[in-house]
Amino acid sequence: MAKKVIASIRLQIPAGQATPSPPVGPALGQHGVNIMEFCKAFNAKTKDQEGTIIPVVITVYADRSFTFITKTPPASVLLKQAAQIVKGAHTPKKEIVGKVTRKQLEEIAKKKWPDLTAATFEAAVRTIEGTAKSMGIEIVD
Amino acid sequence: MARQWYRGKWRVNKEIAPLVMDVLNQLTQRGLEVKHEGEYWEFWSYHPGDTWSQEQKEIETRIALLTTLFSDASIECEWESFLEENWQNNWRKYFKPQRVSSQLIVFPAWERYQPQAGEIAIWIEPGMAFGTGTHETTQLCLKTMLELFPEEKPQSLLDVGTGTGILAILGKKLGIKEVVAIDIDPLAIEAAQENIRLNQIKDIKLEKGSISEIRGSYDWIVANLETKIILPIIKDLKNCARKTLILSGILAEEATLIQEAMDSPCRYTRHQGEWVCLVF
Repeated sequence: MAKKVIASIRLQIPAGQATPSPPVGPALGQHGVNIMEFCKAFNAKTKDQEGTIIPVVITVYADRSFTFITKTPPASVLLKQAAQIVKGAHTPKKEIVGKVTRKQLEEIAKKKWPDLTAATFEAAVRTIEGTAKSMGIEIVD
Repeated sequence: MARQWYRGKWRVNKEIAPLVMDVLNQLTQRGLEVKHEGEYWEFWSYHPGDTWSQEQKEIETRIALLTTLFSDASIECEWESFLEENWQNNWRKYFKPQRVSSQLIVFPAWERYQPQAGEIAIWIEPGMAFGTGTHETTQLCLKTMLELFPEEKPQSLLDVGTGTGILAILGKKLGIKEVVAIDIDPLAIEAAQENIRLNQIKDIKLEKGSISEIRGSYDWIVANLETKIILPIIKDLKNCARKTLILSGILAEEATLIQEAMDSPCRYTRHQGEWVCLVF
């Protein structure tokens, strides 16, 4: 297993619904990744999260074998779940489509923490807060 | 005729990028390819030709709204069209039969071949385990095993970090009586199982675990790992090897680290590219 990385591919795919169509097919095919094996493994791993967008990083090694890791859903998806809304505002800043508490905001920041580049937890919370406001989600204490 | 697709190549400032991605994900339910995350995020969206004009209108409306609402929004998109390919199978073009030596040829699972007399053929399904046969480190091990076998005629082999199982499969095809293959990765065990079945071999003992769990010794130990993985387990590898220890996955510049840790003379080296295989 002398693993030398030749490519790192980042996708966002609906959980349990990876297919050889774009974006999966063109992104992985050009690196010689066994597409059906990826789709089967990704769908099996994310089948309990159907309806959610899952970021995934696929690492391709020198002999074109591969591994992948899934990450936490994007903050906007977690915020919509917390605020129990289907869509963000059509006119954010003017329209309030839902509310989340500061505690919920912190819980989302905690969940996203392994995937965020924020230097401190407070900075991570502020990042999530910014996304919430831009979606028309009000923060309540 | 091949279906037409459109690709939107987006470049958006990081504050607004999650919103644009959310809009695209909601509208298409197809997902995105993320190319770069920094001050500006770059990502690609995909749209089939038959729904593209409708999706494009909707996207433009939503993006225009975001641009109006956020004075700091910087949203650029370049559209390009391309034709659908057989993505499900086209990746296979990267895997060709590998003639490792006059005696051995490694095929991807879908190739058919009738080996000639005295020739060994191995079939491997490329996937989530290392050891498709295309990499120098795998080939170094295969060649070393082929070269040493007639002289040493080992009765037992332990393949440490088996990956696809390719080295264990060669061991069995050479005629080694007892072959054991281990890997700490359950995905590798599944892959090796599949490849052992593909090569119609029944008696390779496959186990999930590490060398530290191995009791007993074997004529040959073969380990195609990495220097940083080999070094901490080198004593276990040495203790389990009754006659010969074949180590690969070592960059030529790291060979002395392994030799020093082994504290015994290396009796054979083989180079390929930047890699070296050491035999003790």
